[in-house]
Formats: sequence, structure tokens, C-alpha cells
Amino acid sequence: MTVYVIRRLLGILPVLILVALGSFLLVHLVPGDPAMVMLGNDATPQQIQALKTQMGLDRSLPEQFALWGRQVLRGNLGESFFLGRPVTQSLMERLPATLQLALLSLVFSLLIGIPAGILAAVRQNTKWDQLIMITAMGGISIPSFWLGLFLILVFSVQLGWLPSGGYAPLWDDFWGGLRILVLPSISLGFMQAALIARMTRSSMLEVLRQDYVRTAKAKGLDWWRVTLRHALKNAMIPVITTIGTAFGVLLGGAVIVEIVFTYPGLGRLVVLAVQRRDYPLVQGALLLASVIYVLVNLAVDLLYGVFDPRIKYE
Amino acid sequence: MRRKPGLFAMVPAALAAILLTISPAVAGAPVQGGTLRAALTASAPTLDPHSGTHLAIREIGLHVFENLLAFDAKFQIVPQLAERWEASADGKVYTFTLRNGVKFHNGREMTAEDVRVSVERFRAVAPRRNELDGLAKLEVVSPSVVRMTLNKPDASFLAAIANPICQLAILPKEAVEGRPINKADIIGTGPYKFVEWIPDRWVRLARFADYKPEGKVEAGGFGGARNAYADEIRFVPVPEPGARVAGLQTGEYEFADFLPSASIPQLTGDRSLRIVRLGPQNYPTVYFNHTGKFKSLKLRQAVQAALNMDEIMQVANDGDGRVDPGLYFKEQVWHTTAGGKLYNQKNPAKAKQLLKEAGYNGEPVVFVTNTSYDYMYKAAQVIQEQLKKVGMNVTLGVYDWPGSLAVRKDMTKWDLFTSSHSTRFDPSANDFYFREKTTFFGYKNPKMEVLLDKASAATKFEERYKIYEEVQKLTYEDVALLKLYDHYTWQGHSAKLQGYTPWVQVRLWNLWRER
Repeated sequence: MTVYVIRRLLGILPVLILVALGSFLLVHLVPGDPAMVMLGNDATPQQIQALKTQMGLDRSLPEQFALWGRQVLRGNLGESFFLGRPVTQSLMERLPATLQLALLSLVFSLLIGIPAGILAAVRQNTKWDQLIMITAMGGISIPSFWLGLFLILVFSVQLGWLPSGGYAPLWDDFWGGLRILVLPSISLGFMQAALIARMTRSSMLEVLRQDYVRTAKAKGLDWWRVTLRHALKNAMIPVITTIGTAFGVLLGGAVIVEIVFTYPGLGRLVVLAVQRRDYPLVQGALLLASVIYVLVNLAVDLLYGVFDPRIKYE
Repeated sequence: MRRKPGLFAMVPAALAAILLTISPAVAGAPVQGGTLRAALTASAPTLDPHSGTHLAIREIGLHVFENLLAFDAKFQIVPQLAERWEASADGKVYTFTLRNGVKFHNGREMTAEDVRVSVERFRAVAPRRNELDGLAKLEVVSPSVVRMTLNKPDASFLAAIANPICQLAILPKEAVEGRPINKADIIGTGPYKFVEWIPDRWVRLARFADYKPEGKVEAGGFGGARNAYADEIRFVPVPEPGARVAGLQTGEYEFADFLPSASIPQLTGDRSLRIVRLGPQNYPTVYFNHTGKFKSLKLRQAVQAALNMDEIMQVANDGDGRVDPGLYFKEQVWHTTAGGKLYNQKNPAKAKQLLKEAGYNGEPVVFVTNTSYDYMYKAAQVIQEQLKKVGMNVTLGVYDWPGSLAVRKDMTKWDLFTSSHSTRFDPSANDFYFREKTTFFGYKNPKMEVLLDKASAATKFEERYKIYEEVQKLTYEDVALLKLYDHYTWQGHSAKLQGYTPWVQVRLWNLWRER
């Protein structure tokens, strides 16, 4: 297994090189000039040119890529044009905020999604099943920012129960931070809960039709044991894949929800960086997001073995 | 948090207009204390006051830093860190005497040496540094006197010193000497001192107990005493308009800037809030690319004749604004209606005639606009329709703001471009649009250059005013660019806050919370 993990980790390298090149080209080929954005509409062409020279943007693209690539290889993602501080530091400051939001959203989506999926499967073609599947369809269809604005209107503005935005690290102010996180987590987690519920349902239906489940029932095992222990465990492989993808997406930064809730996470940082054409920051954030995604996928692959002992890592 | 009744009830616009409080009455004596949380639209890229023209830099910076001079409520120049100044008869030598006993936030008293170092650094790094190109000599005469000598008289010199946009703030020598752009220590002389900056989360400022307010000038605009009553101010960047509205309603912010017009009827119905109008805040503009098909004066005149500014204002900003030809606002001493007959003509017949005379045959006109500022995008859509009606073939090129700026750089890719002009504190701030060397839209007119040279050499207000009246007249006659309308914006604050007067931009000094 150690060899497998090392091999997978080494496999990240070509992915990162491709992401680095792709993100560099993407941000540089989109029309926009950070110097013009920084100096504003009233800047003269001379002022803009002077700032471009200062930022090294007057060099050719291959030259800029080579300079940036060399920095990255030394573990330095460069300095943000706008924030005037190292990209790594800016990303690391936002990561805990995104991490706690992603985790809470995931917890919310698991708590709702898995029981709902199981219920829909064991009560297939009943009103319960229909209700859960219609709600899940809604969850997939409703954009998270719309749900976010709706929740703010109802729970913050109208009822005054929860804050409409902000941020407090959970380790500084646990309850305060949690209160802030409730609405964005629901907005984000609702869609994931819907996806997980649908996946759990279909996977459970397949497993529940297997012979060994019938045998278990025939042996006289109780319903709970058959459903939760024998069927659910075997139905989990595709569900874990869905959960892994969901977590990767959540960690990459919940762009719009972070903006709606004024939440200072990675997603909002990236949006602002794109709007300002802050090249080093966008490139650094994309690199980080891809590393996270690859690591989450690796964790998911390793989890398969926990649920299905037949899977071996060689 | 409190329950807000009647959220979904839309108060009719007419009732809203009556309920609007343009300037809240100041009730009772100022009270010290409390934390003031203010939602701004943007995150400051840096807090170094010399580093940029970004709105958030000055919105926060003006609470921390002060200049030698400032603009008062009438946009006239008044002393701030300087107690007084004298200009030599030839208009080339300015002597500034500093106020005594002004302390920096690090506890040290400000001296002329700090002024020298700050001005030197500004000249080295600030985007606005070319405005001080004429400064030939900068001398420390005594610990409280600084002398600045210019190559030639420059009427806009004092305005450059007082300008709050990319402030020529005075910082202590140790905070700025040898520091590159963005790297100054955030230490000023203002009513609030810097405490903490977590990018995109907040900037925290605390009341500076040793602040020495300017005492001779009446407080107004950026001039006079800036008393700090709140113990702490937190500037929170909230880019999403709906989040600013919700935060204001739930009491998370005591102050919110740039409220969307659509939310105003609903917000004015909330008695725990005061909604104030900041008008005007800027004016949207349309630039012609003078190097392409709009080289033709007749074609530019056709566009000028076709436009209906009332209609544009109605759509672009729900009618929140004022149709006025002045390149400076009515509230400013520089306002004039010179050339105004050519503004807002709403004359399609004349436009069609001019198009014919220009020999226009339906060639495509590319109008570049952006969705980052929705009023510019909406204005462009209305203009496109108005020009289509007179027979012009206009296509919109829609980008985000940085994208549109990048396209603008390539003169082969656009014919018309939308933007806006923020409040100009001195007419010289517009000179660069009209000078061949600095303009970005290819404008060239020797008559304009002569006028601008004359304006720069003139030192008396009356003389300058007359020249800038000529400049405005020529701008209209030559259709150099188009001003659309005076654009108003909305701000909101808790009804408990007293002393707030909207003017140009967010100012949270001389403001307190009722007990």
C-alpha cells in the first residue's frame, strides 16, 4: 500500500505541470491588464507602462512563464500583485475558512443525504421515495447562491435567528463561528446532499436485490442489521466516490456562496483575483485546488479498501 | 439581531421619496464609544496611501492619514497638517508652516523632515507622481517649515497636494524612507490608527487618543476637525450588493455603501435605518475613438445629437441622477453650463442629417462596455438603441471591467467606450484626456492644448475658471467625449448613528452612536 501511495503521489507531478501551464495560459490570454486595473481609469498610458515594467509584465509570455516556473519549483508561488504579500501566505490564510465550511457542508450533506437515500431505497415506489426524490431533484436544480439569498432573507432578515454573513474561526469562537456557518453550509450542502441521496438510493436498490441480502433476511436477521450492516456497507463504494468528488469541489472554494455570505474563503479570493487579473494569485490558487483535488481522490481510493476488503493496493 | 417587519412589503416609490432622509438631523451631543462596522464594496488592495487610486484605499486611508492641505465641502483648498501656506508673487515658491504638536500614531511629533521624506517617496512611487513633476526643490527650512519651489507656475499644484485620490499623506520618516510601493508602515496622523488588516475580511482601526484636530477651518468635506467618536471602526469588504442590504437590515453593519436602487423602497420602510443619497457620486461617459471612424466631427456630432440623456439615466440608474452638462458638478465651484446647448439634444432628425453629411453608410460601430458596472452596461444598451433608431449599426462588445480596459488599449478594436468620471477635485484632473501626449482615445486639438497650457499657467481662480469654461465649451463643440448624466448612489446607516452627511465618499469621522 505504501508503494501504491508513493506512486500515486508521484503521479501528481505531471498533473501539476499541466495545471501550471494551463492556468498560466488561461489567465494571461484572457483580455485584461493588472496594471490598468490597479491604477484605475484615470491613469495615463505612461503610468500604466511604468507599473507593467515594475511588475515584469512587459516581458514575453515564455519569459514570464519561465520566471514563474522557476519560482514555483523552489516552492515560492510568487507575490500577489494586489495584496502585495506572498501568494502562499494569502492562500494559507483562507484555507482554514474554506476547510471548516467544506467540512460542515459535508457533514450536513451526509446527515441528510445518506439516511434519505436509504429510506428512499427501502421504501421504493412509496410516497416517501417520491418525496425524497422530488426534493433531491430540487436540491440539484436550485442554484446554491439562490438558496443562500433565500435563507438569508428568511433566517437572517425576517426571523433574525442567524447572521447573514461574516467569519469567525471555530477555534477562536466555536459557537459564534458555528452560527455563522449554518446558512452557508446548508446552501452548499443541499446540492451535495441531493446527489448523495440519489447515489445512495440507486446503489442500495442494486445491493438489496442481491442474493446474499435475501439469504440474510431468510436467516431471520433483523431489518436494521440487514439494511445498515450488510446492504449499506456494500452499497457505499459509489457513494464514497460521490462524497469524494463533493468534498473536492467544496474545498476548491465555494465561489458564489462565499460571496453571498461575505465569507473570506478560497473561492472568494479566486474570484477577486480573477476580477483584478492578479495572475500569480489565480495561478497559485488553481495549483492548490488541483493538489487538494488529487489528494482527496487518493483518500477516496484508499477508503474503498476499508469498505470492501477484496480491494488490494499494489 | 432583531426581527424586521414588513420585509416583503414593497413601499411604493412615491412614499419612499417622502420618507427619504437626505441628511439626518444631528440630535444631542456627540457620544464616545462603541464599534462601528461599515460594509464597503471593495477590498483594499493595500493600505499604503501613496500606492494607488483605488476607492477602498482612500475610503479607509482618509481616516488614518492626513495631507498638508484638504478640500472642504465646497471643494476649496483649506489647510490640514499645514497651519498655513504662502505663495510667492511669481507663483513658483510655496512655503508651508506646519501645525505644532501634531503626533503620529507611533507617538512621535510630526516635523518638516517627515513632510520632505513623504513627498520624496510620493514622487518616487505614487501613480500620481507626475503631478509633482514641476517640483524643482524641496527644502526643510525649520522643523516646522517646508518650502517647495516649482520650475514654472502651476495652478494645480495645491490641488495635487490636497487630492484625496492617491493621497499625498504625511507619514513618519521611519515608516516610509526607502520603502517601495505597498510597503509603508501604516502610521499616520489621522483620527484613527491602524490595528489589523485581514485581507477580504476587515480592516480594524482604533480611535487615536492623541489626535490633534485642525481647529481653524469649519469641518466639512475632508477639511477641518475629524473627530473620532467610535472607539473602533471595522471596514468590511462586502462586494455582493444583496449581502450589504441584508447585513444592514440585520444590524451586522451600522453603515453600508452603494446600496442597489431596487432595494431603496424596501429599506426606507425600515425605521431602524436611515437611507441617504450620495449625489452625485460620478458621471458616466462615452469616449470616441478619434483615430477610427469617429475622426469625423460630423459623425461624432451625429451621436451627440441623437442621445436622450433622460432616457439613459432612467434605465441606467432607475432615474437616480441629474441631467446636467457640467463636467464638474453643480455643487462644485468649477461648475459651468458652457457648451450645454449641445448636450442632451434628443434630436434624431438632426442626427440623421449629420450622418448623411458624414457619408455614413451603415458601417459597423463597435461599442465596448462592461458588466462589472451595471449602470455602464445598461447605459450602453440604451445608447445602442437610440443610435440604431437614427440608422447607426452599433454592436456591443461586452467584457468585464479589466477585459474592456484591455480591449480599449488596441485602437483597432473599438469605436465607442463606456466609463465614468469620479468627483474631480480640480479641473486639471481632466487635462490628460484632452492632451495628445496622455489621452487614451486619440484626441488631438491644438486649440485645446493652448487652452490647457493657459490654464496651467494661470494662478487666480477667476482666470482659471474662465479658461476651464472655454475648455468645456470646446469639449462640446468638438465632441471630444460625451458626459451622460450625474450618477447618484445610495448609502444606509443605523438610525442610531448621528452626524452622518453624505459627501463624495464614506467618511466616518464626526459620527457617533446614540446611547
